[in-house]
Amino acid sequence: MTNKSSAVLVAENLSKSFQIDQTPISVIKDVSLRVKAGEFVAIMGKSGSGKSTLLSLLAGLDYPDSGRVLLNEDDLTVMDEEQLALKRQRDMGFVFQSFHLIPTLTVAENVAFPLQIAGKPDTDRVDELLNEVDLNHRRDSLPHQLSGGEKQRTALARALVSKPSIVFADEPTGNLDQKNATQVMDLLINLQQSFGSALVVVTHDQAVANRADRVITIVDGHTV
Amino acid sequence: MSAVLSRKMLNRAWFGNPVYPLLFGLSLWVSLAAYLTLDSLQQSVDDYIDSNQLAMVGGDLIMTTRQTWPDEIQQKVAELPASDVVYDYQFNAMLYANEQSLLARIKAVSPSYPLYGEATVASEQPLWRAVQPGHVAVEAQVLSGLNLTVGDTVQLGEASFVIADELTAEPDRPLTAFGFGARVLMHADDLAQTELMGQRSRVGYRIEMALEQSQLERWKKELTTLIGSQEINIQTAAESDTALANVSTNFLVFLKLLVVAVVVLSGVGLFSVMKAFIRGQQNSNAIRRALGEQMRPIKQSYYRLFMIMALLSAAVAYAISVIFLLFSQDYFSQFLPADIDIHIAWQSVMKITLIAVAMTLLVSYQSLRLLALVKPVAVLQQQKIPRNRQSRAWGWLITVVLAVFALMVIELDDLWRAIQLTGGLIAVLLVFWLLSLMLLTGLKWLVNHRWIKYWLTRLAIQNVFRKGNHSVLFFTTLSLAVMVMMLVALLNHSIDRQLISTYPEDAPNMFLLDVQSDQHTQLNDMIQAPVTYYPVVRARIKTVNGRSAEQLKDELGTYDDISRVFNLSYAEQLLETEYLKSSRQGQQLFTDWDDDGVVPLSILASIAEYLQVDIGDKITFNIQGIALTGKITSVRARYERGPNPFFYFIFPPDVLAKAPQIQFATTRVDDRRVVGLQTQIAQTFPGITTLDGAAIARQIKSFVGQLSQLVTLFTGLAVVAGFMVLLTSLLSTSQDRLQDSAYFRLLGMRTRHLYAINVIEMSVLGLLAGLVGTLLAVAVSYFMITEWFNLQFSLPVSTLLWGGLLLWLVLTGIALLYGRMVIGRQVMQRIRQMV
Repeated sequence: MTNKSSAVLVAENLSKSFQIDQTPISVIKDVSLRVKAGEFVAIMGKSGSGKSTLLSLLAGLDYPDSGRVLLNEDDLTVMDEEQLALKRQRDMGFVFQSFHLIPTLTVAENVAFPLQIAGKPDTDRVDELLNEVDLNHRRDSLPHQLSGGEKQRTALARALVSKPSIVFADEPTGNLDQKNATQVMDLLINLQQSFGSALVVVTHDQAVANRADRVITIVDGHTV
Repeated sequence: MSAVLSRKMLNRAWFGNPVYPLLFGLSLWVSLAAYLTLDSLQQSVDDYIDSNQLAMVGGDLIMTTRQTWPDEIQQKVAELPASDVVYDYQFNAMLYANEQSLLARIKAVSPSYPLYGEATVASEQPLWRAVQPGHVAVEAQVLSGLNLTVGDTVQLGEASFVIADELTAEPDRPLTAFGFGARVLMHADDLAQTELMGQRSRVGYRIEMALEQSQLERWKKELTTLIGSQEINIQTAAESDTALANVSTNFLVFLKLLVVAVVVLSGVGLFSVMKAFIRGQQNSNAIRRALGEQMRPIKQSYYRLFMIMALLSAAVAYAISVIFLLFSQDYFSQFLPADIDIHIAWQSVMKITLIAVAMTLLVSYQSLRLLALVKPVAVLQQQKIPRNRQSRAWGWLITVVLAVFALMVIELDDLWRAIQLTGGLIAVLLVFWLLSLMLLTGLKWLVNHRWIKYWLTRLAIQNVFRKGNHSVLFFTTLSLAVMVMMLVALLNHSIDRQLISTYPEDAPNMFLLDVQSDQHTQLNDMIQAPVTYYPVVRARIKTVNGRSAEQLKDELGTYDDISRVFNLSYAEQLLETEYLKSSRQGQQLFTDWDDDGVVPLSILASIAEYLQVDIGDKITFNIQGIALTGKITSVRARYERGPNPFFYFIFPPDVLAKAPQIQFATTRVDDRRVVGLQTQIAQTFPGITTLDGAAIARQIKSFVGQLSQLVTLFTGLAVVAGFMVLLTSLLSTSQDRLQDSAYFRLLGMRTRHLYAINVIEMSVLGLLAGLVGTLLAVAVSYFMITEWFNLQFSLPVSTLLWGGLLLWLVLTGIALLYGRMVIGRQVMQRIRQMV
């Protein structure tokens, strides 16, 4: 059973700006949010609203200019790159719009990779995930031999194989057709719920957002 | 555990695209194989010398001189058993038979020769059964040159000898490439009947002694005491230099230094390959980081792959070297003894393995700095991995310099020379780097300011400055390599044209040695052409401005050797090939000094510069024990170098006319008369040795030609290194180029224009680099030919044009092949992805 009352991710007063031609552009302005354990949160916004930047801050892939991010009570903003890598290894899973599978590893090897990095290889766990995403018959295929839906399902399996506290998904259905998009979201939500992981999805797809427990909308860097 | 998948991932990425391992290998194989070959040759030579030193020098203790042995020396040597002493006399003389003559190198030895090693004859009988008094053993060249066979008679001086056998090997003459004259071995007792000895100017006298090690120092000390200040040299076998040792320490080391430079350049190629591969993996690296893999295991996975490649490359280099040595034994036998065991030394294999590993480690370290640019955030929304500039790694640069320096120290076995050469190499690389930067910046300026108007050319040249294109590296490497190759070719061409292939029309083509004054009239009648006679008085320098030659030896440069024997002469006038550079008085060669005990002296500018003297300085000579002090009154210079005689030191006739001297003469006759005249002179004046200038020039040309071929071969490797950089540059930018090509195609660009962009880009870059290298080579060789060699500079236009054409063809070939492989097949696929 998941405990939805405890916050697994807390973001406080996050701000981030970039410099373009020496002009500072404020992308995220004083954003705060909480994600509870097992909760599905969708972040929506128009193109250029800052949602991907927000995701990168929440996931410890980038540093905010101000504010902090606590994941399981660990402050990501004071960690160095190596500590963040370790944190990602243990507590986070990722699903990307462009899949980002390792092109020279097979489906099974891609799924097994996070466990290998953590030093905890577990072939049974890999098989379990492959079965969950219905890719056992493709376990020895390379990414370039897969369809878009199969690639994303492989990415799903990889994201959840180490039972992370939270999964971050950046436009997970952005490169998929309707049928595959639905299938992928079904799988993502089922797996997330059964493993008790929180899920934060950046999307512009209303259908995806409708399935979330909560939707956060970003407009001009602010949450509304 | 992540190592297993990391290993699989990288191995598949690396070996899955054979271009990477191939370029990595090519960067290393050729240079390492060349180094291994040369190092093994050197090792083989050194081993041969170690095993045969005694045989090569002839004895445990050796004395040499250019004069007859003093009585006290002979008495001392007579204390040893006759079987432990060899008296050896060597000189050039003319052999003649059947109305033909041949220049020979005579060697007359006492019957205990050789003390060590074996001298063999074709019939395999013991040497001294064949070389009895009245008989000689001759080299095959004598038989073929005079149309003789064993058993025939040959004339030497006033005596005739029967050819007893063909001489096939001498232990103390392992190299035949450096001598003039075919060998004739005779009994020392037969010398007197030739009546040549009294007239000889260039007889080499040797006494070789076999001694126990325990006696060596004592004998050396006692003989040195007896020698005193006489011009007799005494050395132990260990102290003696041999021609073979000189080949090892000079020629082979020179080639190895060239190869060391190529190894350094191939490090550049290696760097390009690794960088291209790591860039290509940046997306995977970003994913690995995003998934939580730490930097250390990521780096370790790359190090592991590259180390395996380094070891494999060393193994391939070994195989190449084995094959090369197998097929080139005949070639090297011209510079090395026929019985040398050329083998790949295990020490050499260890060396190249160490070089491969060290170089790969160093280059990997720098290449893997790219990983620091990997930001996991870049994997979001297909962000491109930035190609940011990295800060200079000064620590790494210093380590590289130290590594190169260490290699130089190992090769040269001399710290100071190693410092000089390492510094020189770095300076040259820096100069070329800056030159490349400057020129490419200039090219960019031309494009940006629309000096280049044609759209296709502008597009192509803009490609040169594409991020990831190693244009500066390629330009630097190729221009440097071309410069070295062209320098060798230009020097060879000028020297060949003026000294060797085309014998100067007005230069003497016959040289007569050991002429006596009473032979002038008869010689003039025989030759029937103007003959110039030059008196030669042999002397050593005692002091220069009061400082002894021993003191000065280490301070002066390497232009000459102050301690050697010099040829003084006397004359009233300047030679026709010289002019007065400066004089104490007007255009006078000599003017009297008021100083007591000094005589006027005219000196050649080149030796004056070496000795750091000028008008008014004093040089004291030792002429067979008598001191003569000359005070410089004029400095001469030669119009140009060539086969004309010259003398460093000339005195007025009244100073040296009565000194012990020999004469040599020069003349210019019709080439067709040379051989006949040689025979006629040899018959009439057996004591005179005649040299055919053109024949000697041909012999030198053949020898120099072979050396040049070797040097050109090894410098050609540098060009290969340059092309490695180009290929890796194309590899690292292939995706960007493909993307651009897809855009162009989508907009309707035709295929030939797509290919033309690559061809123009590479042609401009490559030909510009080649032009820069050639121009620099022309400038440097012009200076060397005119200032150092005093010859006229000659430009081989057709060679330059052919070289340029070949370079352009190779570049075009690469561009077209690349276009076909990358753009031709994949551009439509990329277009479909875009739509």
